[in-house]
This record gives sequence, structure tokens and C-alpha cells, in this order.
Amino acid sequence: MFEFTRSKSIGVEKREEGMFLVHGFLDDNVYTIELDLEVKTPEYTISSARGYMKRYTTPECPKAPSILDDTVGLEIGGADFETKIKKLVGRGGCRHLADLFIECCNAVSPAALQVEWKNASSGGISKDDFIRNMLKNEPKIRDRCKTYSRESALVKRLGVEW
Amino acid sequence: MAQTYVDNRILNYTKNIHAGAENLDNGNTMARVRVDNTFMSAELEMEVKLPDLKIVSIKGKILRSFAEECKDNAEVLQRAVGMRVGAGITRLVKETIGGSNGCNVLADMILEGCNALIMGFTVDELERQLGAETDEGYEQVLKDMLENNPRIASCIAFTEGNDLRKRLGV
Repeated sequence: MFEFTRSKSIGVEKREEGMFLVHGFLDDNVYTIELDLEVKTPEYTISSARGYMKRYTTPECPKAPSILDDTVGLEIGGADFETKIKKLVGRGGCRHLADLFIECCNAVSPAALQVEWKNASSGGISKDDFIRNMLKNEPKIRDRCKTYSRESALVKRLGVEW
Repeated sequence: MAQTYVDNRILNYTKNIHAGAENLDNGNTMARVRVDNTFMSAELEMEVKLPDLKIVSIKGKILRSFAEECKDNAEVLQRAVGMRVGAGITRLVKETIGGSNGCNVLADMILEGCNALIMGFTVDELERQLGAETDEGYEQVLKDMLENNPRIASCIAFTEGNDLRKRLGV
């Protein structure tokens, strides 16, 4: 019977101003891996990374998280970030740990956005106004996907141009 | 007076991904992926024909999203039909399904499904290998794997000159 399932669970907390903690957990038929990251903002640099291989396939696998020390100081994002992590953490350690690492890193930006949205909405800002401001102030968001492209119905409706 | 009983550590953002793959009666394989995070919820099903590993059908839905307009983007999934799950799929999916004319969440979900499919092929083999009844049997399995596997430098276990290779004399 061919059957495989994988679950990944990520949680991000803003521990203090300028510091996000990310907890990641991966569980599948073959591996169980845990990861804790500390990310400094607004630089979005990794200030601490600790991993733990709980279930694995070879006696070398538990040594893989030691490579995470080399990620301290790296800036999250950028065109080649995933490639860099796949090479550094994946090839140098474990590709499933690298997969979880990338997942955790990708969760920091939406966590920061959620903090902003919570503050904005509690201050009475509408979702449309929030998105409009986001598109005006965050060039990285523009043309990131179909919804936030300059030709989209949403962007036209909000009257944002770039 | 400030509350001192618990430290407020409510999560600002959560994400859960579940991916699975299973055999179908027609000999093909079905990958299913579900993503739920603070901003959105989406699901997809992708049928892959064996042995050529081609995506023959795909359907998905964005169930919840921060921007309502995202819910209309599931049609981009159809661009994946005909793609082969193999070398180059990551770049192809990111460029074709994701990007400024696509949806990066759905692109990532397709890749998660592809990974589940590929991992599915390894589970039975790994179970047989790791289930060796003696240490000698297990070491022989590891030795065979290291000697016969071309994945040199693909991870710490396959690094040339590591402790495992030295101990096993590979």
C-alpha cells in the first residue's frame, strides 16, 4: 500500500519589540523534526536557530541541526534565500530540516503583517485601507501575485498605481 | 493591577500544512494538500499518472483568504496539468502557478503534493531497510545504501568521509 502523510505546524509569536520566535514541527511517516528560530526585526535576520531530529533514518541524521549555527546572521528573504538554505541546511545537514527551516522563515513576514493588521483594525482602519497602505508602502508586495498585481481588480478598485 | 499569573505568549501567526499521497485503483496516485494559516485556508487534489509521473488532473479551492479576490485564483491550478513530477518541477511550478500572474500559496501546495508523492515511493523501502532485525543487518543496509546511492553530498548522511562511511568502510 503506497501511502505517505506529512504534517507541518508553524507558530510565530512576537516575543518583544524587534524579536519574533518561530516554532516549527514536522511529522511524517519517516521523520519527526522540531525547530526553534529567533528572528530580529526590522532587519529580518536570524539571531538563533535550534533544531532537533527526533525520528530519522541514519545515525548521521541527528548531527544535521549543528549546521543551523551557520544560519545565524542570515537575512530572511531575497531571491536566492531558499536556494541558499537548501544548499547550506539541506545538503550540509538534512533536506527535511531545510524544508521546515524555510517554512518557519516564510512565516515571520505574515506574522509581522498580522501584528500590523491587528493594531490597524483595532484603530478602526478598514481592510481595504489597510491593503491600500500596504501596497503603497511595501514595494515587495506589489506584483507578488495575481491578487496584488497592478492589473488586478482589487488594485484597480483601491485606486493604487505604481 | 497588572496580571502576573501567566506570561502572555499568544501566537501572532499559525500555519498548518497537511500533505498526503495514496494509490488509486486505476494505478495512479492521488496527492492531497490542505493549508490553514492565520490569513487563508486552501485545499487541493492532484492525480498523477504512473509510471510517467505526469499530473493528469488537479482541482483546488481557496476557502478563506485575507483579500476576498484570492478566492478567484484557483483556476491557475489548471496550468499544472501535463507537468511531470521530476527534475525542474520546483522552478516550473513557481514560475507557472506562482508569480505575478498566479498564486504562490497554490504553487507551494502543488510542490508539497509532489514531495508527498516522491516520499511515498521511499516509505516501503525505508521500512524494509530500517526494520533489519540485527545491528549487523542494519549496518549492511546502510552500507548498501551508501555504496549504491548516487546522492553524494545530498545531505549529512551522504557526505564523503563522514563518521558513518568511515565506520562502515564505504
